[in-house]
Amino acid sequence: MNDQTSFENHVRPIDVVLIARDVIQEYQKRTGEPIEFPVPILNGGILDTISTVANIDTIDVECLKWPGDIIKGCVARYQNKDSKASIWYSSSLNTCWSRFVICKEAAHLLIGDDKNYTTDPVALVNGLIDQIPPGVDEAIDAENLALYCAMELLIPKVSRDALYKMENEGLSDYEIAYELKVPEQLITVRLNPQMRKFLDDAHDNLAL
Amino acid sequence: MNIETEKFLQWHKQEQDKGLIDIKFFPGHDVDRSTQEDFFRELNLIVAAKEAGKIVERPDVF
Repeated sequence: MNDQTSFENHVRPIDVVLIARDVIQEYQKRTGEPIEFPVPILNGGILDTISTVANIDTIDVECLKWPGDIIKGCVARYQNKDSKASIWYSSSLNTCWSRFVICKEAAHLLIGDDKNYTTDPVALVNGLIDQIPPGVDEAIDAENLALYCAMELLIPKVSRDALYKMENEGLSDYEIAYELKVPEQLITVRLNPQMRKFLDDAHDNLAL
Repeated sequence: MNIETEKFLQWHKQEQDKGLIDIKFFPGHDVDRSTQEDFFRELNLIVAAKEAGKIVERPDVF
């Protein structure tokens, strides 16, 4: 844990957008098809591509029975002779939340490195409980970056026109979320003017 | 004494010996109303469910 001194994270939100772009492009290259919507995650979906891009031999995903009020999901990453990761999510989550939690935890595998690995679980947990602001601890900042990444994986640039079309047609955030099989809150955040500007600029300026 | 915290840290150390290099969490809605012990209690439930192999089939999640 950093001693409350602000620092610049070595992974920036724009890097996360690029990483998500790479995953979607690699998925389309692998399948030879444009990505479909809702974005497939399991059973040959983007998780297989994340495994390739993150250079992890195996990613297991398991739904387990626990309340999910305090923790919706978690990911554990192992490195031995082979590399392996396990993602667990709570059986209390509905379909959309399950998909988002799996994606967000998988995003940690894409943006994680020895600079933001969790070396002190107690510090990470207390940082999450206290909701400490960005720029204090890289492991905690990684949570927000993983959220960006998951949003870009589930609502990639290629779906942008469809997303805005649904909005312009007057569909509610809930109705759009239902179509894309993502949590309603994710649509609300994605359509927030600040987030929209950041992502639209990133997509357009970087020719994503 | 932080029983749940200690219990988790013991598991964490065992897993580090097996090659664990990173662990991350997706906080739930009640995280800001919980204590460290509450958090680790739920985490220990996850570990127990995993070790008991209590996997829930979710054909709806794709």
